Amino acid sequence: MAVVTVAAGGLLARGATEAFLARLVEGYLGEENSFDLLVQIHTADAEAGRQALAELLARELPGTRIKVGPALGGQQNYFLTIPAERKTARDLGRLDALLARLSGFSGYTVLMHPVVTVSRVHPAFRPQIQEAASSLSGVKLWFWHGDDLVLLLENPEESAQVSSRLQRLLQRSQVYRLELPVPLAAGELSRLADGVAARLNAGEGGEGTARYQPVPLNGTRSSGGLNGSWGAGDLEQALRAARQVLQLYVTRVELRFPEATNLRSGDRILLVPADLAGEGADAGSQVAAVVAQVTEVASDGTDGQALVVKGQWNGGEAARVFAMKDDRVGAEIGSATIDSPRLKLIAALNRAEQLLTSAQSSGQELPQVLDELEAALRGVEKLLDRVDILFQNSPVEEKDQLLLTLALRVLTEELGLTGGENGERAGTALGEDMAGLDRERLMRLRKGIERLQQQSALADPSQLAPLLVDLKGLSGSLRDLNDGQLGASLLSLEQYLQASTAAGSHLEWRGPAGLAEERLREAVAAELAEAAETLPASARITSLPAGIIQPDARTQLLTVVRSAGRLVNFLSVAVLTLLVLLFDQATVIAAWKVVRRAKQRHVRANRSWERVLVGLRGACERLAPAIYGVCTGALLAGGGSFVGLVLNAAGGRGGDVTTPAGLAQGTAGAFADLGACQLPLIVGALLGLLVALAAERLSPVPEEQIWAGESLGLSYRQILEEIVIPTGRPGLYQLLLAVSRTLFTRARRDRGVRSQAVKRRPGGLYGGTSRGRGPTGDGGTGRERNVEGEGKAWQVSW
Amino acid sequence: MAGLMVRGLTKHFPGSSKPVLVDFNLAVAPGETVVIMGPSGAGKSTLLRVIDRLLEPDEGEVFWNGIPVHQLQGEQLRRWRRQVGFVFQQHSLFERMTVLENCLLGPRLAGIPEAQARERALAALARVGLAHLADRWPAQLSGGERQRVAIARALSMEPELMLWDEPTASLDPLLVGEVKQCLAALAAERSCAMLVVTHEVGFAWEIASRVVLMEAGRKVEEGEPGELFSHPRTELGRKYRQLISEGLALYLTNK
Repeated sequence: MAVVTVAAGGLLARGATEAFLARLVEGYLGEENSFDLLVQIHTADAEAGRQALAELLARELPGTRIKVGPALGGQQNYFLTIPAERKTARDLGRLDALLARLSGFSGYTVLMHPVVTVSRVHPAFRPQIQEAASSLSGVKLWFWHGDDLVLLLENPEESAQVSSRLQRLLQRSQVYRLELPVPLAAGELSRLADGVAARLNAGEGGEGTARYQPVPLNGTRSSGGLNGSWGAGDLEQALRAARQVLQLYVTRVELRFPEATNLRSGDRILLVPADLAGEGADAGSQVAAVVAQVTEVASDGTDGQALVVKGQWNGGEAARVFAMKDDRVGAEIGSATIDSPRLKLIAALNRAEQLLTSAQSSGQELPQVLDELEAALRGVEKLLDRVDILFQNSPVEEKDQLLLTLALRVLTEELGLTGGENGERAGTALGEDMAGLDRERLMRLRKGIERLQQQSALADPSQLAPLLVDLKGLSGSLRDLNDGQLGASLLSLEQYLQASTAAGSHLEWRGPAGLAEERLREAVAAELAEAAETLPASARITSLPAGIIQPDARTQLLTVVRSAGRLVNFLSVAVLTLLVLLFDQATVIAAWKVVRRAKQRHVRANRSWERVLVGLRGACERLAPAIYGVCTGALLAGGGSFVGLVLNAAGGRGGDVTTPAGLAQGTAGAFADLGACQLPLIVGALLGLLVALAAERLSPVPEEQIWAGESLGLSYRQILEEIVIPTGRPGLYQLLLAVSRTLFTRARRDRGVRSQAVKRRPGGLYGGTSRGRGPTGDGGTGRERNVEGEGKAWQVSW
Repeated sequence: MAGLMVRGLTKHFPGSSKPVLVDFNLAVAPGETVVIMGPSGAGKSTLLRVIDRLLEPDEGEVFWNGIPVHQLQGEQLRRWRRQVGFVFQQHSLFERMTVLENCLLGPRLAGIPEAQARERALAALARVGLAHLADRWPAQLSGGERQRVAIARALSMEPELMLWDEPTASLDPLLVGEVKQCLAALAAERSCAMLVVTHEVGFAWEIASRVVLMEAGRKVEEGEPGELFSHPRTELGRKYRQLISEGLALYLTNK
């Protein structure tokens, strides 16, 4: 009863605290799962950004709702709610790319629940983490958000096991980073990286073990950017610039598979326009072969992405997908949607050209034509913006498209791209194609449109002629671009940027966790043919985690809430335990001590050894109240906490916040952590001991009253129940005893001497019949029989 | 034999080698009032407690009307105690019970019907002159009144044996009188056997049928008060006679 009281009190206090704080959290973040994303746009671009965001979402993630949030720190916040059918690995995986198109976009936060996020995943570990995420049970899907891998879970209960398994994986590995005081040439760095790895692996024992591997430095961090601090030179930056431009034109393929596919990143597939008859190779042979390379397969294997790497796609947006193995076409495995910015731009330009031609020939009003023209050229404008940004950010003095051509040529030479002459030819052709996308021409086109907009009222249709020429020229250049070459070049660039080791002063190795800094320092020094101590002190060695498990934003806040709740619960349990100990147990323990002494009086010991034994027994019995106090305190506090945890867990609020797994578990994880009872158990035991030691001071029991009770013929239990406890502090026992105490309360109430709520138990302690005999009647004398009869009469009289 | 018979009582307290009672023998007939006197630590209170089995003797026997009290256990023992009225040195009233409730406790435990129990309790209170205070709380009473309530509580059980453990020792001298009167009246009634422990020689002379002198747990002298205090055979007896002489001289001087 007391344990339940303590547990209930603790739970009530905890519940009230958590409810109050959780409501605060909901006030900030909305109700659970009411919002999925928090998108931030610079306040300067807020209005346009919102419109652009709405358009983007309507086009790419239809059904997504936007709620305007507060503007904080120069950022306008937008809460997005994505429809359930759009919460797929493919759609969520595209968020980074989609939202990056917004002007003024500064970032977004995932508010979905329940999720587990592996943040700051080191690029060297991306494949492992990705593979682990795919194999974990309870993970609905996963997607990348920058360097963070976000795992959306089936239900909150999975959070603990998913977190702990990921945590184990992350704890096994580490990245060791060496920062040299002086930069080394690319070749030297590469040799140093390989040499150190070999030495470390040799130290691990056994040949063929490659536990430590050098990590390619360039292109590994998405945050590196054009001006990243990864030691990239001008060439590398030029290549990055080229990659950005290629990403604008490359033909992307969105894959869908009716069944989970076995395709992996790097596999090739054949694309055939959907409206084309025929099967597999036959269908492929009827048109110029269009081959795509898979770049990503979603965690559930039902969709993915690819790039066209061979051929020129001139079909519609829908395509059939055939498997390919060793350049042979296999079975049809799914469908695809082709997204060709090049074709879209051509279509837009054609539309613009048609409009202008029509306006020129029919004398149509120019303002109306311009409106339609602007809509058609929106895609072109984006291209113009991108090119502007590209050239403004370019580190090279000469800002023209020749940089890109040069970069591609250098790349082709460095890599041999697809090998020998072909590669060179491909690079050269691409460079020429890119040159065809003349920036001058693009700029002229933009100025022409702007000029027409400004002078639309006065404009003469004859002024449209130069604009038409520009449009035709641009359209022609775009038609000449080869989808396959663009895609292959982009992939080659990616590969080169990831694999190359450019000159710089940083090196990284990945390997098992726990490598001593000294060992790495020695390996580096040995490889540099220097003694370890001569390696400059400024050569810093640091270890980086493979990734960090983090709960979602809501869980982080609710974790704080739950911590507060647990603290309140603990304090409440401690206070209630102390109160129960003071008000009830102190009286009981004090009475116990007095009764023990009273019982000791009844021990016969007429021999000296008997008296010694009695003395020893008395000493042991003196310890008993202290042990009882410790056990009672521990039971009250520990039991109260445990019952509280179990009830809490049953109510969906359990969980531990002291472990990463528990931390990431979220609020609805239903488990009770026995470890959480340890502290209350100890505190309760200490309180119990203190109360037991001071019991007779806290709740004095006059020994004379025990004597008097005994002399009146009361049993120890009666003395305890009728005299000691009612005389003690008004505690729980007194409340409970009010039901069974029968001697005086009723009569007192009848007389109106003192009103005390007492429920009479028929045939109670002194009623005489409930135990089958009267208070004095255990058979025997006539007087006793008479007394028993009187007892019944007395009971009736009540 | 009727009345109380004590044979060979010996008692040690745990941790002490010195006996509190040594081979103590005593007989008290029904209606007889025996006063036990002796210096502090002589074992007088212990003797009463052993007789009421509040303390267990190491050796010896206690009989009441031929019943071996020393062998009683559990409910039988408690039933025996209900036949004995014990008035303690300290008042030992139950503070959470009214005066009447304190006095009702014995009859109720004996299973007497409520109305009868009330009658008996009120009668006991009337005998000590406190019927009008029946609804008071012990805390509202003076020391003498409290002790008289304790006597009434013992009387309400209509005991066959009354044990008095220095009933006036803790009282203000001004309050001693009312308790003494009460006790003297009861002794005069000779309705039950009484064993009274007291230090007051004059009081003992007044109420005792017999006086027993105790020292170091042993009975050293026994006799009718007139004979014992007039012709004491032991040193202890002589000391008491001297006390009586001084008291008489003081009384005569003051008179």
